[in-house]
Amino acid sequence: MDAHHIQRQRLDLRSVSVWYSMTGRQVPVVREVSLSINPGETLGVVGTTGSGKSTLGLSILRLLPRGATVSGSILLGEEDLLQCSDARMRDIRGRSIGMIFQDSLASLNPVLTVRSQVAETLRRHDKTLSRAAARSRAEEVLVELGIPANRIRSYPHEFSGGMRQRAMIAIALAANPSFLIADESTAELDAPTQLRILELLAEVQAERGLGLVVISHDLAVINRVCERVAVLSKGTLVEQGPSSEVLRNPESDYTRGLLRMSAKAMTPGRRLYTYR
Amino acid sequence: MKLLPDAGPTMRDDANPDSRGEDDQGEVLIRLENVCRTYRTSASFFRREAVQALRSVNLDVHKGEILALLGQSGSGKSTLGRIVVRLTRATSGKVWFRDIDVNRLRGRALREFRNRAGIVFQDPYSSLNPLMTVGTALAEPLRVWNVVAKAEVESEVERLLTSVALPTSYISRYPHTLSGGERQRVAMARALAVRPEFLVADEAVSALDVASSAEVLNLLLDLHERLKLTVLFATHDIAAARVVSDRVAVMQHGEIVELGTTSSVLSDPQHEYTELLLRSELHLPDHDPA
Repeated sequence: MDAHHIQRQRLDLRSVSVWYSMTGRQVPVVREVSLSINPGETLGVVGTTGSGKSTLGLSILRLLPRGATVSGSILLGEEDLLQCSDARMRDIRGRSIGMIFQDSLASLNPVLTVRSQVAETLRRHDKTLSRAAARSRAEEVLVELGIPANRIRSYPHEFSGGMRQRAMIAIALAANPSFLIADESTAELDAPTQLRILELLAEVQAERGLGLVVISHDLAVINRVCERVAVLSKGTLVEQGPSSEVLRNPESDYTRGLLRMSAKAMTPGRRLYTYR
Repeated sequence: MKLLPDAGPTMRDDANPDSRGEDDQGEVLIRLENVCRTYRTSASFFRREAVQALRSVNLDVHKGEILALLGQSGSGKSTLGRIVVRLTRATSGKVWFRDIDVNRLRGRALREFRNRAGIVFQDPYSSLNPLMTVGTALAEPLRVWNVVAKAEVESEVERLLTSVALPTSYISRYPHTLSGGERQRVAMARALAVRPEFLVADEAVSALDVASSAEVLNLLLDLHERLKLTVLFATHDIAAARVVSDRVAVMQHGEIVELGTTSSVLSDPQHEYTELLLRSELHLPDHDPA
């Protein structure tokens, strides 16, 4: 298997809406969002808590909880992910699109070594792979992502947060997907580790030609890693465009508000702008 | 820049000299002298390991200041905050609150100390009792401590809510209906209900998004101004420390490695760890203020 061969398909969300069913009502969480990304591109999806950004990310891989309704279409190349079978989705997850999350401890299997978890993913997507070959390939991937060879047989709880993130990235990328969705994946990390992980994501994205979607409430994270950004407010896409433009000269008041609320934009001792 | 002869933290010319009564920056409210905190853990069945959460920390907190404890997880900042409010004890060293040795308080004296300090924690989702309405949660400390007469509890609860910029209608709300930022504000109101002299904010905005974080930081600044509250603000976020604090103590591996005014420490760091933290900071592009 050529390590870095990926499928060249576009991921195209068209008028995607998501409702959650709560106490008998249908609550809209994502409202007719359209955006797209090609392999090799980086897109940030930014908004405050409740903006629908995580829900949007989860909807791409059909990982929403029961009781959620999705409409619109999510095209991977020509195929609409919202229409395909469960079996087909299981292939897509990991083989075409990978995803990493904020809470690495909750996302990793606590009773398997990280090597086993990467190997398991590899064998899931390539039935011809022997256990030995999978283990050896797993080791390659983990080392490539910065986990020392003598740690690959450790368990998730034996790692620091930053290392666990690397393990999660290794699992997500093991089967060479064309896209990686990172949902607030550096939010729990301290600053130096966060920077290293973001640099790793940028490196891996460039090397493999991945389409990277970074979901975050932190504009500075988006600024560091993403060439384009889409801004969500209460489920609606209010603005999208090149990061350098949107984060410098936003068109919408909402984006302007987000920028001004950031502590990074602030004068010491002065009140922060709060958006109502 | 002078270094102390026993190689203590990188002290700056503008930081107070570590000697009682000679400060020209205001009364010292809290003083830590050689505070150590060691945890004994069992790494395996046969081995006990000692984790040094704090290593001989010396620090003065002045009345009315906001002092940030800036460091990553494991730096000891949370442990320090908890020791100062006596949620845990120092293994050795002295912890002075005015002329009271906090570490040695017991029984009635300890109970009496409890309403002189407040603490707000990182996780807004676990710090409020889910079965209590906001009103009940705020009334509880008022009753326990007899802060006001029984007949005035209700109006005092309303006053507390207003002081944290929440509508009085929130009295009947349950925590799960509130946002993270709102919950933190309730947690602050509860900590302030007993009218403490100082507040420890332990990563109080770390779990909040940018909007909620801005609200809570603003609130902290407001309360500090109005109540002349002394605040110990433990955080890993440089930007938050920059916005709210007067002085900052940079912590690493249980020690204070640099101490001084926020503006000087963060613009002209002397210690390599401070430099690392500053280098790791992510920035926004210069944006056009509308």
